[in-house]
Amino acid sequence: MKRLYGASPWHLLSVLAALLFTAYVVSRLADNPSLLRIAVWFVGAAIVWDLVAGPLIALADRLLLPLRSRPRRVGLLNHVRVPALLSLLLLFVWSPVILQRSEQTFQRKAGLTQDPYLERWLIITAVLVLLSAGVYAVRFARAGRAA
Amino acid sequence: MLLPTDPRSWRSPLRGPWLTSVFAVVLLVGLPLMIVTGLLSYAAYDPSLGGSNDQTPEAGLLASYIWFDWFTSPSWLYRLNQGTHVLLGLALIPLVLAKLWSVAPKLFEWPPVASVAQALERLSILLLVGSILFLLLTGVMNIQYDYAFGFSFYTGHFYAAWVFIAAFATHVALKLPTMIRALRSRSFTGELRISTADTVAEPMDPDHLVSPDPAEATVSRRGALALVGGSSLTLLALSIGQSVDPLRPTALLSPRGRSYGDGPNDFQVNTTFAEIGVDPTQTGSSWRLRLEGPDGQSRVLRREDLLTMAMVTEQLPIACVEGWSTSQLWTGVQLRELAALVGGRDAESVFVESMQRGGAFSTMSLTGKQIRADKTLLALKVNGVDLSLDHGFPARMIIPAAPGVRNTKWVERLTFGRPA
Repeated sequence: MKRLYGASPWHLLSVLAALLFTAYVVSRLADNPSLLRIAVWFVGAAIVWDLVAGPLIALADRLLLPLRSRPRRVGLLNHVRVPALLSLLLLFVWSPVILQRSEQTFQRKAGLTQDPYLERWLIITAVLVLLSAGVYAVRFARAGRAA
Repeated sequence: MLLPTDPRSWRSPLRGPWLTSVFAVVLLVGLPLMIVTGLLSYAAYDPSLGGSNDQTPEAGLLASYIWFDWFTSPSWLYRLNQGTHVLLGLALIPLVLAKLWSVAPKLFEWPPVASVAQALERLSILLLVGSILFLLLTGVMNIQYDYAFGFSFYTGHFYAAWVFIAAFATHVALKLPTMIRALRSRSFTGELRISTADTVAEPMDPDHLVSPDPAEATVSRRGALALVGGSSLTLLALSIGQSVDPLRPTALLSPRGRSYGDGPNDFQVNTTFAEIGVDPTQTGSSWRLRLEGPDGQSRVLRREDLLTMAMVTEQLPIACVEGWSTSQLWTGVQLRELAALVGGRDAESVFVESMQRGGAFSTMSLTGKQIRADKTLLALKVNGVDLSLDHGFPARMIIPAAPGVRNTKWVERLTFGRPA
């Protein structure tokens, strides 16, 4: 078994259970015209995150590397990373309202515009940057006193 | 420049079974809670009633876990369930992304397939990753009225959830021992005391998560955990106000963190009167409520007639599937009193029709349990004044513990179904 399959019978059973169950779920949608579109978003989400967004963020992070701490120098790296990642996360999650992508539907549904969100996101980002800069200033001053 | 298929291209000294397992154990608590609240939310529509109640008529066995009619008390039940589902879902986003980051080298493993077992497992991982990203994405878009995905949110989210449940169960079955072993490999509190300067890679592991050529650490594991946890708390703190009335203004980026003013009708609106395309004069003195009983009896009532009936006032929440909610003071006639007028005291269901034509939820059914619940009202007033047009004037349903969309607005006909 192990030589032929590559793992234990328990492994085969568990994996087959998931695949067969998924086949049943897909079969329920066989006649649904949305099936293809759902499949595209399903696979697309994995591809876009794993092969595009993830690597891009890692690449951007690598460009920041010269900002890291060195002996006798407090690094700026994490003080850029943290507000940048938080701000990016908020933009990712709330982009429909921040970029006013769903303005018309929202107006019909809730009777409100999406005007305030871009400004709010920018203000939150500014607060994060200031907080991070404040912490950096404290660390910088302490390191100077210690030296 | 090394290709990502070369293990030496993965330089982070933080990657390793221990860190992955810390993210995993949090998800192992959080994701089952997402599954339970999600399945309960689906049951809260009472899909067995058919029509608009059942947004996934092809569900087959996938809906067979619902052997009960949805609850009518406590009245905050759906508010709690759905607030938890959406807020927790938002808070889990950083953990899911961190977990994916921590196992990224596995995606590029070379050769990609070494055995049948590995091929099948990788396929199940694609289902796991695809489904969770799909669920987070459609959920996040739906709560912001962004329907760019172009299929019914209910269809996509429901079926993907079942794929996720299967793939998640398999992943836990296969990886639980690995997770437990990794968590035991070092002390959590001990790890929290290690500074960046002292942070080194975990010992090489059989799953190849640990970098064979680790760079110098730029952040400690403590720092990485603080960043992920802090991100979750940031998302939570900026969203909780959509479900808790006094905190509403703190939900800065949520579509449901906005104030409508401070009048009695100034609370969250979903579907404005303008959207349904009905002439406002039809809500005036010509409006009638038509009641149809199970045995052919019928009554036609004017709004003045309803106002002469016994009025009941209840503090009840409107809690949307989108997770936001708001509690208001509603005044109206108990639905069971209206049922009694047409011999429908024992009706097993009622079909509620709005003046709205078309629209996915312009008609909705309620169960016998909901008809007879003390707090199920045909509301005429809110916070002491007549309903506004946006909140359903001349009359709307308010059902305790039910999803907001079942509280049909602009009601014009109630058809009570035959007793069982």
